[in-house]
Amino acid sequence: MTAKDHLAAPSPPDEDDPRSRRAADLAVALEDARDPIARRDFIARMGAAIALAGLGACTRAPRDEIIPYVVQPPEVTPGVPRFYATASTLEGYALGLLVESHEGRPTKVEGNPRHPASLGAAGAFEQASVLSLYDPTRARAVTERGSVVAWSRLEEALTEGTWTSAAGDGLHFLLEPTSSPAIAAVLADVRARLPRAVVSFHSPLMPQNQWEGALIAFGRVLEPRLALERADVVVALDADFLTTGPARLRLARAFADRRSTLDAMIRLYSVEALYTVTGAAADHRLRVRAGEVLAIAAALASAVGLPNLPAGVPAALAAPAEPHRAFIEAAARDLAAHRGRSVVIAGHAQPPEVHALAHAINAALDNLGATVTLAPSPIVAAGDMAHDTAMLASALDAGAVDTLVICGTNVTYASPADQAFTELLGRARQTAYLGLHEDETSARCTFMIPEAHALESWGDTRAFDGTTSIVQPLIDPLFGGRTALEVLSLFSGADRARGMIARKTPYDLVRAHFHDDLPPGATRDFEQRWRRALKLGIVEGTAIDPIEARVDWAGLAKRLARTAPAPPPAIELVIRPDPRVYDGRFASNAWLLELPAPVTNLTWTNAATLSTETADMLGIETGDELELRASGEIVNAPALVVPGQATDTIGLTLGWGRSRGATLAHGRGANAFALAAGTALSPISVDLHKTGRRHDLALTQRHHHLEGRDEDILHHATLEEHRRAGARHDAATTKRRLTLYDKSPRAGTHQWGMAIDLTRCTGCGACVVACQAENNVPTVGPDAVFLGRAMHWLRIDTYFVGAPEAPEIAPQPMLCQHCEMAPCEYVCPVNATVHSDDGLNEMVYNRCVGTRFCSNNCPYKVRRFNWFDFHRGEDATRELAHNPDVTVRQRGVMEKCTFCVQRLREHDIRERQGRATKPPETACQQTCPSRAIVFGDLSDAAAEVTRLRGDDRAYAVLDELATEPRVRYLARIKNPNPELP
Amino acid sequence: MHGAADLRVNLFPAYANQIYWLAIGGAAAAIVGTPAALIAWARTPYATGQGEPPDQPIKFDHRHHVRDDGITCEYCHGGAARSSKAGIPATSVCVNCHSQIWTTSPELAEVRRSYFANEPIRWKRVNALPDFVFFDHSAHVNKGVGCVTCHGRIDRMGQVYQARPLTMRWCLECHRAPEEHLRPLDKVTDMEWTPDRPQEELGRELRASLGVRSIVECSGCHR
Repeated sequence: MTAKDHLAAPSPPDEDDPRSRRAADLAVALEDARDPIARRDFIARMGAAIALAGLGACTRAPRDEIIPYVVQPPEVTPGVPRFYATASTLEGYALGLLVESHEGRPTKVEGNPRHPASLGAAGAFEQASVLSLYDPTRARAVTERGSVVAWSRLEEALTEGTWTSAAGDGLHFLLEPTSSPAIAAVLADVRARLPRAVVSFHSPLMPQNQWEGALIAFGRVLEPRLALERADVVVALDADFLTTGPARLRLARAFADRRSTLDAMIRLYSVEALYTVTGAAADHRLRVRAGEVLAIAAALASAVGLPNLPAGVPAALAAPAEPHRAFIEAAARDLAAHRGRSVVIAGHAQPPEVHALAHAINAALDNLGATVTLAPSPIVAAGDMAHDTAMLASALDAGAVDTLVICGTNVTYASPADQAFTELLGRARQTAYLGLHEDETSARCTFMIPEAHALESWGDTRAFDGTTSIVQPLIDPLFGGRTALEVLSLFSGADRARGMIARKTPYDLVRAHFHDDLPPGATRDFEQRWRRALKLGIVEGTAIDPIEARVDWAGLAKRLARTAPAPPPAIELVIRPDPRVYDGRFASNAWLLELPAPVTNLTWTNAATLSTETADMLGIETGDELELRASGEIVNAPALVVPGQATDTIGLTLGWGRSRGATLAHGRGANAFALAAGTALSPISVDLHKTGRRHDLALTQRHHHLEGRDEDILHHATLEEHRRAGARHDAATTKRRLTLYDKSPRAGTHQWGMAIDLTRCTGCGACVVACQAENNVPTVGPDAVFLGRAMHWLRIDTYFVGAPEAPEIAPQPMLCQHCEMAPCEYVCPVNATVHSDDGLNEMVYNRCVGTRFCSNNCPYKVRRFNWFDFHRGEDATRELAHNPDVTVRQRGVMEKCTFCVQRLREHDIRERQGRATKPPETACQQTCPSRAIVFGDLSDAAAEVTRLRGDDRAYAVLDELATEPRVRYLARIKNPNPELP
Repeated sequence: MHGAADLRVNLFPAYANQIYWLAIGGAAAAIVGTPAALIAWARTPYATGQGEPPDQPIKFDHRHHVRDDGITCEYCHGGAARSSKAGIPATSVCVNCHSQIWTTSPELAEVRRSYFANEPIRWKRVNALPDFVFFDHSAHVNKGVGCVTCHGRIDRMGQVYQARPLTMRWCLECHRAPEEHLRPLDKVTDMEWTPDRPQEELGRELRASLGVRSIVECSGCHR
């Protein structure tokens, strides 16, 4: 199979596109698929049904069964959920989680407040991981060339080969980057016994450039750790630090904290090609091609001044940045004015030189040790080229590989096509692949081993700062999955030495390594420490201390002198990780597939994004199919115009155009790996032309302009304007209103309300998935999204503010506003939506008859209608993901945000019984990395939400309708540099 | 020639008028009566399943365990005080006693099979609420609602059956005026308790001292 096989199959052209026709087709198709009775036979059958209705009523539903435990675990009380601390891993870096379990069934993931990378928050990937666990399409059995075989057969086959008598020569391992101390120990064991065995690490998105950048600047591999809480000025060089990287949630929190503190507001300059979440949050955003960022970095370094750099920054390096001089100089002056309180951040996709320059600037500004500290990476063999996949590729090419064991990385799909792993894998005598799905890689391997999901595994993993977490399973492997630790331990020496294959369980392995890692003398209270580590979700005292590092100025000067940036291509292809499916690993997860991408609001596909200017120049409109040609390969992708992207760039995200192992995503979007060359993220030249075909993109929002209604919908201002206007924002809401209704709240009840701080919100989308997971919200598929029938109770509206070709993008989470004078309630003919004493706008599914009057009368358009029984015919495994505390809605019923009423009622019940309970949190609030959403009791004067409601930035959306919403927004304030226009 | 008389031939017999009125009346009655009948039918004990014990895998006799042995409700249904679910006891709870007594009884064969085969006993649900109703035992048991109030005289049931209609109207009767059904907390599991003074007075006091609210908002039960 060549890379061409990955090409996205374009969806059929859609010549006549009346939306009504599609709606009808969709209805018939969906109904026919689910319903043995075709819609058109309905009337005929209905007649018979009415006639027989009387008889039908003579039978009763069969009795349900109650199936108790045989021996009830003492800690379990059926009906009371339990929470366990564990961790998920991405690129080898841990994120601590707390997982809710109902009678042994994990249903919801939250962040672990004790974990340094989470601080209580979780992102969209983590929120969606529950659905991946219950994915019925996961691999279910060990297979050899497609036929099911026993595990013992695999053990036998893998541990025999020419390498057994040659000290491991010919034995290769390909792993995902890992920080696991247990895996590191097993690998050390394997290496001790088989010194010639080769271990390689592969992920298309590992921070290789960052490590190399540190190697240039400091002479060793170090990772920068940012302390944004201490920074006043930040310059991001193509760095989307708010949504990517191992500390993304922590940085989002720190940034938001400094953002909403108007008296000491942080200022962010962003230089980037594609419009990212970080770019949208920036005060000043410079759009340049990704290949030009090096020049910007050099110009910035020379404007700041690097006195210790022999001969200074080469002028030739900085010369291309000349047109952006005003921006660079203003940023440099701002940085210089905040010595020791500023920071320059380089993006992972940028070449090592940019990282080195960022380090140099930070050093020159005395930021090292203040806003940036440097520490060795927790990743095993970080930056060590001996573990590069190039070694593996050449060994495969030379036919020197006898046994290749691949753990967790879908290398065939997720590597640039020019690395040709698809073809090379066949050159090993035998290959085994440990993966969640039977995917592109397993198709090329001798053995397929089903992998245990993180929520089914014992393991350990480390955070960006080295803090170790024990990964504990919430459930036994559903499909008999194994972990990388188990597979690797087949080769470890200790057990082989006794002439037998390892029979240790992963639990034993992790405990053994935990024991070995304890400081001497601490092993006496091993059991106590082990339990504490499991309970807290972190192992205390395992963080890696930052070190004092000095810039190697001479080395840097030498490297810079040698650097000659390639001339920019006419049109540059910028490939980036996808905010939904990442590098394709989440492409089987419907929640993520249907998550509207931040900034673009695109669902169920990726698209070739281009700026307004480039689109005009090439005559391209959103929806045109483009043929992209790069690195000698061709890929077709739909076009999507994104104002504010750099001109002469085409943006494409990774992870789409899957052909195997992600049933839901097959044929959706374009495979950017097919076009990539070298590393997946380096910018390359691209040719493009229109094919003449059109695509209907499943966008959740097609109109982004406020049409001058900024004051009604989204208040935004600069810090300067805000100070001048004073308490302008809440002026309208304090107007006295006449009403005939008695609105005095009932004494003794909570009065629930919410405040959303738009200065904090980045629009990352974690809340959308959290809401979906908590409230059993169905996914509807691309056709229904296209028709505007997405079911998300919480959506993120994206507005364009300012110049049409380079607008500022302002996200606004929009959910049921729980109006005190709710327009929906007046029009419901069956009283299915009513008000509760504690101020909720309630939705009663069992009363709803589906007139949709309420939705028509809702000015915020937050009500969602079930056009179909989306949950019917669901796989039994998938059903396990449902929250048992929330009704699974059926067809013909309206639904909407309930303020997570199940949590509020649970809280009420506990509180009234005097049992321990914390103030309730909604799912969106709990997961929000930047704490933009605050929920609470308005009758409590000390509550955070009450304070925010009284803030001078607070306002109600569509205030003039006098709906008196319980949700208040806080105006979006920016902090631009007065020097820049 | 055909005369006009031919056209006056009676097409309908004389009783056609009666049939006409009967048909009209019948149709009207059907339109009103059918829904009325269905509504009424849905409230019959037959439709609500009231009073009918299902066939259980074990002929468990509450009369014996509650009345003769004096085992309290919470020994087996311990979740009632702290969970939404009262819980059905695990097989091991049965075995606590039945490893000592009646160890060879054929009636308990299913208990032994379950315990030794590690397979749960599959009981039939007696008191079933629709999936969109979220009932919480702890909210009631801790606020002075007795077991007997909803479950009836379990201590007199050879085989447990649904004692009350469990319709929404029945729930609301109590939710609107909880004081009529409250009892002291130490009498919650008492099957034979009767108020020693007027329930009206006792109920009012209990309502105040236990902080019992009248929950009639929809999301109290429907979420």
